[in-house]
Amino acid sequence: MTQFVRSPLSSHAARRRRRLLRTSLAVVLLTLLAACGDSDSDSNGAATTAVEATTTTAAPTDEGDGSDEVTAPSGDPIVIGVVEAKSGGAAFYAAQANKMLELAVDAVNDGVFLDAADALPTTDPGILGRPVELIFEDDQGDPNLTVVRTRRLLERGADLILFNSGSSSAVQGRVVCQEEQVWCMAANNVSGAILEPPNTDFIFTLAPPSGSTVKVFIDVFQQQGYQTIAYNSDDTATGQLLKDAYKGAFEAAGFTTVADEVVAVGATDISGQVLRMRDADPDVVFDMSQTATEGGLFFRTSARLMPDVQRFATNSVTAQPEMWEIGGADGMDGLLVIDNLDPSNPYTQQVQALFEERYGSAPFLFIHGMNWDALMLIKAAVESAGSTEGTAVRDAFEQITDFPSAHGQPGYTVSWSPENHNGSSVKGHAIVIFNGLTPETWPVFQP
Amino acid sequence: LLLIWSSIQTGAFYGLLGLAYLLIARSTGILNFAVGGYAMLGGITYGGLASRGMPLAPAIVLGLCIAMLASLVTEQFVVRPISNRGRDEFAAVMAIVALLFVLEQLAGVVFGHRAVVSPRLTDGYRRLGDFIVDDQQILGVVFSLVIFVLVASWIQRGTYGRMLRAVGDHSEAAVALGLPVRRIRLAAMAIAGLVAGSAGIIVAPLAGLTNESATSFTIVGFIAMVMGGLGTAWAPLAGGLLLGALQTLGSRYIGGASADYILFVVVLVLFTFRPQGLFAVHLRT
Repeated sequence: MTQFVRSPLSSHAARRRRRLLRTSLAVVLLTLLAACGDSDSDSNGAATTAVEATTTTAAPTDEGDGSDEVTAPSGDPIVIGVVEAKSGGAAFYAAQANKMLELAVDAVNDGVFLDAADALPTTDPGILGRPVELIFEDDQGDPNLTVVRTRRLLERGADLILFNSGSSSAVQGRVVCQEEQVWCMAANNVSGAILEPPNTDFIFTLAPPSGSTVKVFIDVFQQQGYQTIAYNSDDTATGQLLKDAYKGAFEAAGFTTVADEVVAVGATDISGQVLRMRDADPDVVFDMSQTATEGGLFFRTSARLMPDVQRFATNSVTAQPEMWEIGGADGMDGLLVIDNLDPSNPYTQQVQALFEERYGSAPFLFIHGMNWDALMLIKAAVESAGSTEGTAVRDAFEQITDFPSAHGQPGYTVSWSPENHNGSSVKGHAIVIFNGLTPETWPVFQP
Repeated sequence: LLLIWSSIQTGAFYGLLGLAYLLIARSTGILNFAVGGYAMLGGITYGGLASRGMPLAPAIVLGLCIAMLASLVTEQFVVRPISNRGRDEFAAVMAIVALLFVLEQLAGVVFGHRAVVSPRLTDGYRRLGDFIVDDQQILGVVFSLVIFVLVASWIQRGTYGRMLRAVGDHSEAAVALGLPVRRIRLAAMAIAGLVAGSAGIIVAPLAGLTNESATSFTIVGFIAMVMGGLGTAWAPLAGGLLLGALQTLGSRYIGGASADYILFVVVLVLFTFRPQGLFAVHLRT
């Protein structure tokens, strides 16, 4: 038994072991942090060459001003304040939007405008000859914080505001835009509530609203002759809200619900739900998964258990490449999604090439296209207004018509008016079909 | 057949989580609700590193090491200091729950808050009519069974394993007998971390993981342990399989939305009529 009695020596050894344990812990954690700190910059090794990339792509003499001399922007910067979400449900979208905004700001400062050049008042670098700068405030995806963060951006000198957090955040933040008479845009938010009065004089949106997406789904289903629908959703609050909205609209349009399955977040097997769906013999399966894990699992399982039933999904799928990876090529193949990005759009391809030069082969999403457009539109409006003064920019923005768009179908343009602060039309939607893990334009039907 | 297989493969995963609970409960007398956190850390470390280009083998080893380290840290810096101040198990459990959220946030900071997709060791699958099984799932079940065999053998025949039973049965008596209680607890925590980390690594390629997976893992592991009891190392496997069967059959015949309610009713019934689980600890008096 004496071997278990702690001696001074063993106590000293224990202290040494404790020190070793702590040191090992610190080393392992530091190694991990170093290895995984920034996936964006290490994913392709090209992040640091971003400015070079835009510069080499830039060909100011080809972009419409006819001048060989390009004047670098100078003077006080035009400051665009961005309300972002570093956590919560909108964090991924906000991060993607920010990636494109940073690229687009560099492009504007370098005089690279691609197909937007013809629609701009000038193709001089910067805006009004001044450099463009981004500043950020994080509302953590919490609409209760958006007002404070928006005000903070204005205190820090923001001339214009972009909302990149959730739709609910934009609904709250627009109040500040109204009170302070500052031009604001929620480029990739889709909730119709953002433009419902009051407080809508200074807020603009770009993405086709959710109501428009529902109509497109109904058109496609009717065109394909579907009558019965099976629904798949996850049990997140957003998933259930979406399900109720889509299901209600489809039933009102005459479609019959034959199955309504819910997958719990954290599920590792959903064979039971998919078999129930198959038993219901639907014409079409409609997926509204919000989380990549459960969505991917659904696509993998449904492709195996009901391979002959057509599957449709919302653009939550195209916005989350992780979902494609979990679903696998077999699982994603043949899935139809009503997206806002048409891979065959030449302007989209130009912006995508610029994006890939900086970020490597990271998937190009509709969020990227929309935020590129947002920067080009800001240049157009501010230069037309001649200043960043809120009322002048708003009035100029309301005059923008037929502006070329890097999202939507080929040739798609966006237009605003005093009565319409959402610039989209039905051509802003594009139906894509997955060929393995690659979304392609669906040749059968486009809205 | 498909449903039986689904029950087995999810049940084996739940069983591993339950086994980690059991090891810690038997050695420390505490319900360690951070077990789901260890599993998430193991799986997300493996997936995060492998998807960034690290070869699979070192990524798996690192995942296991991180899970084990997290478990040892829990013992050294959370449970033990609180236990040294008195016998307030409630305080220790609360601290562990807080640690679970710390682990979640830490994983979110390091690996992001989006799903981490882990590479599969094999991409093949086998089909027999409706019966479709991934080779990855077969690997997962086989590995799970191997882990159960190893841990059960350790408890049955290993020096520290047998002492673990003694410590768990009566810790004061174990101290009085001069057993190296602290080392036994550390060994049990290390193995529990490895077991939970293995569970995370096994499930990660099947459905992807997020930092928030920790909470759901914690819950299903706890239920598997409660259903199985603490009587033998195989008890959590029985509990896990029962839980897996309830979930799978519930989803199939009642619907995914209702399956959880049925599950919780069964758990409540079990708590009421057989709180010791299917396999209870029997002490000689």
